[in-house]
Amino acid sequence: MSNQIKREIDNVPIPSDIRNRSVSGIQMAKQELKYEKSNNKARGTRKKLIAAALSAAIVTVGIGSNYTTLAGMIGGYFQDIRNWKGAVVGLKYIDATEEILIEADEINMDSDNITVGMKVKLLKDDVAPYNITQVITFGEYSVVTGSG
Amino acid sequence: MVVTETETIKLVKKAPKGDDGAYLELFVKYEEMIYRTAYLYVKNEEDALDVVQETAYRSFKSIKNLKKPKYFKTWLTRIAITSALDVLRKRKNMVFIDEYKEDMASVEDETAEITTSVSLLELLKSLKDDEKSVVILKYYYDYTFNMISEILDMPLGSVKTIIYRALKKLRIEGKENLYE
Repeated sequence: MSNQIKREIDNVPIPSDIRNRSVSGIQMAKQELKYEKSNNKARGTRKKLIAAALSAAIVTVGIGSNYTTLAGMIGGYFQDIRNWKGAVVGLKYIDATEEILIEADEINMDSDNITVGMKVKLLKDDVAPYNITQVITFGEYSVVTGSG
Repeated sequence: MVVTETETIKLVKKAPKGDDGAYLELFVKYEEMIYRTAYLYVKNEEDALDVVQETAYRSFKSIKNLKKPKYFKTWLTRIAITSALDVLRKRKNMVFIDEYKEDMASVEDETAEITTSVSLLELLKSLKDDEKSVVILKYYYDYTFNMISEILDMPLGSVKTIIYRALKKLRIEGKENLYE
């Protein structure tokens, strides 16, 4: 019985194209694995790029401001960002979009300016558009008043 | 066609490192078996070739998840059957139903005894998917009932019931040999 079934199945003719199909399947998988690998690498690189971009993204505040009003100024800074929800608490813009966290970084003062670095963290960097984001840049913003 | 366990393990270990050449060397030893298995499910050359390609694709992509290389053949067989069933699910059209009816009609015209190789193959093709799976795994791949139970993720008792039913359909005598 076993032999009969085996013999029958073994009699199914094999098309000449079979090897090409095996090769194609493996090549497709290889290409995808390669792509996924490079994508993962790019994700690591992307984080570095974002960090680099943010370190360059600074808010310049006229001399004379002080730390007390700084949080409010940052609030003003974010005021122009439309359709974002959340709130400024201290130096943090909490839950900006549920996808992005923004907070003020180090504050540097020199004779003419106070420079506030901004840190942005992508909370969902595995979903679009963040998973294809290479660089984030800030547009031009002005701080109107200390209360935003 | 015969692949030693040592050879299989050696080639399987190379694959996750991206050695597609080593994997191809291994895969081609099973490609005909996969094609013939697929053919019984999908019943045409083109779809069966698609199953071979899909099995090659899926297996190479997930070879890193194969913990025990010695179970490569079992693992590959499971992927092949799943791929074949996926093709059937996607197809689900009248052509398949018509083909099935034609198959059954031709079977009904046959005498009770299976006398030609064509009729047995056609009978095999006409079995339900679960019946086909157990018959192929048992009599073509020579797996034990326990292994079939694992591959199909099916209780052992169900495997035996299904194979009994399938063989009854195939009108093959020799039930005494079923439970080895």
